[in-house]
Amino acid sequence: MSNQMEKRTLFSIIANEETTNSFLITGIGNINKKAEKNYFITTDTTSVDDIKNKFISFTKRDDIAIIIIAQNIADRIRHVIDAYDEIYPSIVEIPTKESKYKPQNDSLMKRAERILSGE
Amino acid sequence: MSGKDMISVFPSRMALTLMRGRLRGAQKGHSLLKKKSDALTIKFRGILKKIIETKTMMGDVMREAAFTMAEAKFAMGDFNNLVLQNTDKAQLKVKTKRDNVAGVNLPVFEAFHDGSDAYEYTGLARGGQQIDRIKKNFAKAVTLLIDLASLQSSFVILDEVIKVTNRRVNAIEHVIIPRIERTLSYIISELDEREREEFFRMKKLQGKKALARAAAERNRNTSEEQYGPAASLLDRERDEDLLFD
Repeated sequence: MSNQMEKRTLFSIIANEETTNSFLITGIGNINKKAEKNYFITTDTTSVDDIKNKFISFTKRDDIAIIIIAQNIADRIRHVIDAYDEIYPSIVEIPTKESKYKPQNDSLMKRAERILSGE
Repeated sequence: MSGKDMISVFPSRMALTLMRGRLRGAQKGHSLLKKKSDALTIKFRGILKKIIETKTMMGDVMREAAFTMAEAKFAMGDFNNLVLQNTDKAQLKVKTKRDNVAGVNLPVFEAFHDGSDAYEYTGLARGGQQIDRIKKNFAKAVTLLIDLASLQSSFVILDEVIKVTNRRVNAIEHVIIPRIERTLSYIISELDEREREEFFRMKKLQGKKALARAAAERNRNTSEEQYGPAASLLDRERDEDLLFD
């Protein structure tokens, strides 16, 4: 288990251009040997399928530890994120300039709700 | 899962002692597991609270950072493409450490810098300072994100462990202990029954012996009355059965 963990060192981000850029400036952007980027910039015209496929491909990679996703985009593939059950990579939903953070939409919060109310 | 099942043992006193020992063990295990589950649940709630706090804090940090971003754009124009072009190998990465909490291995993420700063040369005249500020602000957001990711992973792992532990607690409470208790009562009832049988048999035997003795006594008395005392060869009196004497 720790060998796997040692390989997971990258962030990845799915957000609009502005947010993604802001994070890339801090130096988390990466293009690996297979020319795969660890970031995905969405626009108003990006389809739900594209977002979904990108998300799933990020979760399948073994070098990504954390996936940062803007909450408004997460809302568009909510069913996929709700069904996500793995421990790694971690999925962190962030607010953006357009969307304030809504805990009721966050998949993690919903999971917590389920657990605590099931006691 | 039949409600009447128990462990198959031959009912003996040895088995009784062994079963009692097993019951004690199961009860101890049950209380220990319950304690573990409670401790983990407390930690779990604590983590949840922290997650909510951190996410709200991050909302503020991101808003502030976005503001500096807007300022920089105003001063420098759009530098998005510049940033994208310079992306090659990540300098900001995460390291995973393991933390042991109440017997559970929880991951802790830590940021670390790998390599030189590729954006050194995006520091153009006026924009340089702005870029620097953006970098610092978003780096703050990234730190918060790392904390959040650690919390979230711990959260998910704890969830699993608590579920498993609770399942085991319930299993012991509703399956294992009743099974042992049923076996115990079976052994005890068998032993009791055996004792009763022994007792009854002994009583019967004693009764029979007494009857047999009484009957023997009676027989001896009756024959003496009817036939007189038994003949003896040593008698000197005349024997009637002899013809020529």
